[in-house]
Amino acid sequence: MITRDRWAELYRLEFPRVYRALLAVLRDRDRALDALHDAFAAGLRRPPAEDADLAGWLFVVAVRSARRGFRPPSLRLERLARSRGTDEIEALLDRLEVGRLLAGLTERQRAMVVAQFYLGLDHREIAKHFGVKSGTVSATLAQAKARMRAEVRNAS
Amino acid sequence: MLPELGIERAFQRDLDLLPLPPEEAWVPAARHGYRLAVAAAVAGVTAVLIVLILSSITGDRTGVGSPELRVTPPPRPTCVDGGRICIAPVPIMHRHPELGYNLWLPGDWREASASSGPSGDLLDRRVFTPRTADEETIATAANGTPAWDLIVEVWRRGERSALEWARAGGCGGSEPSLAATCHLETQTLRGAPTVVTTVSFLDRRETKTYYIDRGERLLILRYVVDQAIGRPAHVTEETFDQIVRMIGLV
Repeated sequence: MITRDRWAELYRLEFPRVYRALLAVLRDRDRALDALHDAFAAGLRRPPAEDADLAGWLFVVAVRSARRGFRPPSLRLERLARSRGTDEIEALLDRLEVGRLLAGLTERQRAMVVAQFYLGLDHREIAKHFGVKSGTVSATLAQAKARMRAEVRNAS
Repeated sequence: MLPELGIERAFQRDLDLLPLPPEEAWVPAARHGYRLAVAAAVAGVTAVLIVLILSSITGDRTGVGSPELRVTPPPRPTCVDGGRICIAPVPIMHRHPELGYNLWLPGDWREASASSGPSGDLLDRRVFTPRTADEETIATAANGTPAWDLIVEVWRRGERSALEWARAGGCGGSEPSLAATCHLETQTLRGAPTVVTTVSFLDRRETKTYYIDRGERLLILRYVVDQAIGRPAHVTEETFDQIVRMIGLV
C-alpha cells in the first residue's frame, strides 16, 4: 500500500505528463485540472496497491472523473471567466500535428491513443486500467489509427 | 500504415509543448470545485457526527480545563479502516523552499499570526495552527508557547551540532524545575540526521522538538501538548507525528 506522503510525491512527479495527456484528450484546461485533482483525491482515499505505472492509473481515474463530471449553473460565470485559457489550449492543439490528428477522434479513442503513444501503456495495461477486454482496446486503437491515417492523407 | 515509433516521438514532441498550470495549482488545495466542496461538506458533517458519537460514549475530553475553547469541528480528514482510507479535505502543501522545507498540513490548518521574521541567528519562525484567529489567543500554554500548534524555526546552526542544540534547548534547558522527565534520541528524518527531545512537565505539559541538521542551518520543529489547554477537535499527537514525517526537505 502506498503511504500518503509517498502518494503526494508520486503525484507531483507524474503531474506534468498526466496533465498534458489529459489536455490532449479533453482539450479543456479546467476539465483536465479538475479531473486530475479528483484522481489525486481518489488516491488519497484509496491509493493504488503499488506505485508501478502510476501515470496510467492517474490518467484513467481522471478520464473517468471527467466523463462523470459536471458543473452546476452557479459556476457558469467562473467557467466563462476561465474559458479564454481553454480556447488557447484548443488553438495550440490545432497548431500541433498531433493535436490535429487527435481532434478527429472520439474522446474514448483519444484516451486510448494517448495512453499508448504518450504514456507508453501497452494494450494489456490499457485494457486493465479502462476495465475492458484487450480485444476492445485493439479494435478501438485500430479504428483510431485508421482515422488518423485518413487525416494524414487528407492533409498531404 | 503509420510508423508507430514515429507516432510516439511525434506525441512526445507535440504534447510536451502543452503548458502546465502554475505549480501551486497542481495539488488541489486552492480549488473550489463543486464536488470537492461537497466532499468537504460531507466530511465535515461526518466529522461532527463522529465527534458527537464519541463524546456520548467516552465523555467530551476535547475541552478539558478550558470550557471556552469549544470549537466547531472543521472538515478535517475523516479516516476509516484504521486510517487507511481518508476523505477530504486534502492536505495543503505549505512551500518554503527558501527556508529549506515544505510542509503538508491538514486542509484547514493555516499559518498563525505568531509567525515572525529573522532575529539574530533565528532566520525564520512560523507557527501553524488548526485554530481560527479568534481561538489563537486562548490557546497559549503557561510558558507562552502556543499549545497544539506546530512551530517551525530555521536557525543559523553555527558551531554547535544538532545534539548540542537539543541539549541546550530541549533537555535540561529552559524549565528544569518543572521538568519531570527528559528523553532524547537520534534518528533520521527524510534522510537528515535529527535529534528528537521529549520533555514532560509536572503540570501535564509535554514539548516534543525535532532538531534537523541541514548543514549551515538547523531546522527546529516543536509542538506543545498541554492538557490544560483544550485540544482542537481531531488534533492528536499522531497528527503532529504525521506532519513531521511528511516534511519535505529541500
